[in-house]
Amino acid sequence: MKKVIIIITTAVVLFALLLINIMITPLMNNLGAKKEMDRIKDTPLPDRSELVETFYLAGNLNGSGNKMNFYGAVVIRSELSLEEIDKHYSAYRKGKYDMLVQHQASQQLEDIERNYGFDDTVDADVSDGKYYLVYTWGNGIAPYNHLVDLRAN
Amino acid sequence: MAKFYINPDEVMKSVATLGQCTTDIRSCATQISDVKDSLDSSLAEKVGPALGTLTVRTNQHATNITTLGVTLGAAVRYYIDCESKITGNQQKAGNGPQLIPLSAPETGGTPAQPAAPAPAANPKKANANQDWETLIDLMLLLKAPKLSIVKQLLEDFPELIDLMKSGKLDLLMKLQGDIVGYANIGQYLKTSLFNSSIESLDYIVKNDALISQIADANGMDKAMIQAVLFQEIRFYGIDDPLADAAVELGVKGDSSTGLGQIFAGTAIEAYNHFNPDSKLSADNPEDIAKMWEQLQDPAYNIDMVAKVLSYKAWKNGYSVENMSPEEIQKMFRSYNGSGDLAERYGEVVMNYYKHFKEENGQSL
Repeated sequence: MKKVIIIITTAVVLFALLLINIMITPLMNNLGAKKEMDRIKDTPLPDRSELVETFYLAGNLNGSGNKMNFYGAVVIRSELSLEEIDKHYSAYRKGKYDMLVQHQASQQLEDIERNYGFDDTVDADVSDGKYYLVYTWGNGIAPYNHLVDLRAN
Repeated sequence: MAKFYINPDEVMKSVATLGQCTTDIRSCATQISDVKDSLDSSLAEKVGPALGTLTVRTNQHATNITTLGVTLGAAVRYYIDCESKITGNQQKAGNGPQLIPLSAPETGGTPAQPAAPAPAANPKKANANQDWETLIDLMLLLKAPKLSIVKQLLEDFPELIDLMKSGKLDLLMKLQGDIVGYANIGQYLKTSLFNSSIESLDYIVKNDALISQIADANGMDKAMIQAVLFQEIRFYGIDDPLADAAVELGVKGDSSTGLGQIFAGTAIEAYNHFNPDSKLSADNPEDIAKMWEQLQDPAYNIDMVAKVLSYKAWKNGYSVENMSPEEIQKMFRSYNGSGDLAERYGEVVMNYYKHFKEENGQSL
């Protein structure tokens, strides 16, 4: 009888831990993505540039297989060229996927295949060709980035 | 790898001989000890210590020989015990539990390699001796662990017998070596209830005919499909069935699903690329649901692995039929997506790819 009680208690505790994990981890992972966005937003803007919009998304945002992506991005409008903007952000770049710069020519964020309810549409009219996306594929906050988040699958 | 032939009857004879030797040596030690005790005091002072040391050493030899005899005896008893077990495993191999049963006859997998004839007259004994040889091979490959570990492995993973017989143990060890360098503790925990490296490779080996057929149909190297499948089957974890259940319950619109862990939306994009007249849309929930259902069919899913890889290669500006190693790695990374984790994915799958390619008799 004692064994049965121990087994049931253990099962209940494990199930509760799993539930807590499932509820808390997504929130922490959202925060992980937001931190990436904040870091780009807090980086000094290049000359003759203005911040237009900010984005953050967490989930398995593109490709197949299982993984979590922590995506932070800002859209800026600038009179500078892509090369000049890239040179500016490369001074703050910490890795291969950090503070990448590309021309933003459409209303959609390129490379984002799944948005999990996050906003991934640029509101501003980008047709004048002066809009640029500065984005980071981050690694989230440990240990939550390795725990169960159903958006990873 | 060196092959051994062991006849258990001969080993048992040796054990008996060793037992006799032990008795003789102990008798010898007793006689030396008696001589020492019978010496007069002046002689005992001169040779007594040497005789005492000789007695101790002789007894130590007897103990070592006894240990050897016991070990050999245990090995033979284990051999006799596992002989019937292995034969039983061989008989049930065709009907044994599979990762996901494939319904089409041609997808039933390749049969296990027939055993080479063993140098014994009794056919049953010949097979058993060969199984014993493969066991020793396995022990050598695993750096000669205890027999009990090998026995436990065989009980836990009957697929190991098939992999041994088809000569895939070296490949398994190479793949496992890559996994050790890649996986973190979280991945081990999440995947511990599901597929081992042994089961994952066994699935791929058993479905070699189907994978080859799909690779040919898509004009690509089958090692590319094998490498991705191995990764996705091996790292199927607790969150995967949960995500699939969420889709079935309508809580989630799409999930990475099936053998290749493909999102229905990604599959639709790849499908549309190869079928320009397709009306499927990745933005249409009904199309997503339909594709998601189709991806539950293992054969369809494997075919879609090939198509998604081809599509990713095309998006990167390459042709899947002619790619450099760097481009292939980039294609594997793109299969998984963007970011550092996808980068590591590309690296480890590239390593698997090299091993599978070598196993398939090709070079990079």
